[in-house]
Amino acid sequence: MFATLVGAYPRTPLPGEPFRLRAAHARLERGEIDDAAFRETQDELVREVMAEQMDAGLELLTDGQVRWEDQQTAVARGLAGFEITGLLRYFDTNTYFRQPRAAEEPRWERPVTVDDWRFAQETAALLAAERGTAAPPVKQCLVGPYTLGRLSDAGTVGRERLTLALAEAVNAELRALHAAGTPVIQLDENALTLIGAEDDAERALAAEALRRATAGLDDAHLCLSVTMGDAVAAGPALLFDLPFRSYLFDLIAGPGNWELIAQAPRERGIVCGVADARNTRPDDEPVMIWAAHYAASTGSRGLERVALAPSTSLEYLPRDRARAKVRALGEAARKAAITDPEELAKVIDPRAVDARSAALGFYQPPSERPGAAARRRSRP
Amino acid sequence: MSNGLWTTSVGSFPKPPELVKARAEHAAGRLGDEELHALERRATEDWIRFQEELGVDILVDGEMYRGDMATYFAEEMAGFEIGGLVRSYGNRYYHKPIAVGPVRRTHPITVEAWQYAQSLTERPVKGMLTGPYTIADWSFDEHYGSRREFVLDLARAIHEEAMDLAAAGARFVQIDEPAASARMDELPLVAEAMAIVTDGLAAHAITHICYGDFMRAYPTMLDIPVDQVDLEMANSGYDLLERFRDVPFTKAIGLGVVDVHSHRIESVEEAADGIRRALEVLPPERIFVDPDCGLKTRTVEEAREKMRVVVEAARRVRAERGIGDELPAAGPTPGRTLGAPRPAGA
Repeated sequence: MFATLVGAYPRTPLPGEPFRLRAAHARLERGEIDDAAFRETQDELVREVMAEQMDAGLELLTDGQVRWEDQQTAVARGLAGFEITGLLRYFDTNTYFRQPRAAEEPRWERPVTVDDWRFAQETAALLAAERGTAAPPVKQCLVGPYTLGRLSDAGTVGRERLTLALAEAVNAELRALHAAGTPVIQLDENALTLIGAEDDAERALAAEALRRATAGLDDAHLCLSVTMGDAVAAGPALLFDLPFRSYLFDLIAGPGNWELIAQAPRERGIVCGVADARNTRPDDEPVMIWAAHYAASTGSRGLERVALAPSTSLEYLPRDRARAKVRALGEAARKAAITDPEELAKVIDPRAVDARSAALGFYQPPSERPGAAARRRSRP
Repeated sequence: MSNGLWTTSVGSFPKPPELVKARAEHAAGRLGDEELHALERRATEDWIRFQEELGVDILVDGEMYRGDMATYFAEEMAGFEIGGLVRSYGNRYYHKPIAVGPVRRTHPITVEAWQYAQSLTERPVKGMLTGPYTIADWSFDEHYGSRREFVLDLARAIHEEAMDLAAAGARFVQIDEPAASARMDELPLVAEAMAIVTDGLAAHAITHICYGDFMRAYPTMLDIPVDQVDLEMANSGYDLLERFRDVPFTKAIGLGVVDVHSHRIESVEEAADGIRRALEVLPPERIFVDPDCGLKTRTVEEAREKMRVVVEAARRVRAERGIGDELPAAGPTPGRTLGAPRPAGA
């Protein structure tokens, strides 16, 4: 039981702090600084956002994707065959990305994200050394082939060819990350939420793309992340016949994803996206803890295969609100790991401990429940 | 002779560098309200003069006094507080409002600025509002818990503002709903809210929608009770126009013919071709010609050049087709009540 981000974290400053990244960006555009100086500013921001995750008690970190223009172009620019075009809205958010257009079948030529992951893992080690703790693992996130294909302009290449070519490219990137030692690699496939119940062709294309993308990586920890809605219509067969060791589901925009969690094979990990990443309102801690325990109960999965996360990227929130959400998640994960109901009742609203406590309005230890004395006497 | 292909713009123009600097100084408390206001008025006058000299038919004030289009209204209403920065795209950020109580209008928000702009010209100046659905969608909600209640409270507030603009003499009132094309299942809510906003509005009511999945939003978007739907077309290659051949567009269209997110200045012929394509599916008296969206993200020079392209393209096609420029009547049109065509018997 631990907490982690979905991936991105706000690159905006905390209230009252200077917005160094924006200023550096403007200076880069005006030619006043070079790429290396701009990268130093980004490096510093990566340190900051990773430190915030560690201080909140998160145990699987990311670099917050603060270097990325957006999830799509960050990968598309690193592959051969794409050009970057006009702005498009990202799902139903008020955040926009520049749409990649396939000028030809995209090809993987060199690692796109490995250097950034190495920097982040080294940063985590340095931050841990400063705190006298063990270095936490850092996961690398990557847009999946189905989503990148669906959000791109396929041009004359066509959707199917583009998607399958992207599957090969993503497979090469996953292999490079695995070879570099990345402990967890997360494929973000938010477009699975766009597949309708009747979209057999889309379902088949997504399944084939993910099969090719994950081929030969059985010994890697691959996590499939689905946010921005539910993937119920995409179906459990598509999701669970693939070699993912864990799944991250948005349970705020896609409460239907609980259906999938209930059907997930028990040996697979489940990351519950329970902190609303698209609203500033604080989340209900007992609900987050309940979600963790419920996911752990499905198929007798156990808490050791469950984690908590925001519902999607935290980039949609102001930095101070995102930090508050991350702290709340870290705290909820710490409490959710408490398996003794009596101990749990001491740290959360006792009514959230179990059904009996909810009915009574308080936690009653088994030793004080009616008939406890008789039960004790009847024991051999 | 038919009239049509009137030129206009979607709303915002870039602020001149001295105003950008002054706004930063004002935010830091180093410049007073009066000094900032004087600079905003000067910039407004410059844009009005520019549009007049260029020969734009329906003018805008350029929104020199506004920041983000949703936040500006939230700042002026009760029930909101303004949150921290969030990213829009690239290196662009805005302060996102948070609804912390029931939202309502406490005073006219845009009327004085509209009156000032209109006082500078004989040509009509559009009243520019952000729609209730977009303000709600681009805010955090810590109060309502129900999107519908939030949107409809905002609709009542924006209705009051629209009526005040019309009472002040605005012949054209635009209610921007760029968020409308993001969630197909909520288009009926957009229409329900707009019915409140435009109820009894004695002006040509326009809504602007951009950067969404138009193919999926069409033809349901026609159910929004306005006279004109203004659409970003150049950025999407005018794809939607083809749909009009099968499912007729029942309202007037605001046809975006230059991409506002590109530094490249389109050629006049390129924009004229877009207008000619629209004329294949709509009569000229139902076409208004403008940029895809507000031009505030361009430099002043780029915005001016793009507007020049818009006006010259419309002028070129008008000359080719013998189309006049007499402005339409400003009241409600039959298009306001005409929704999406329904199958026979439906």
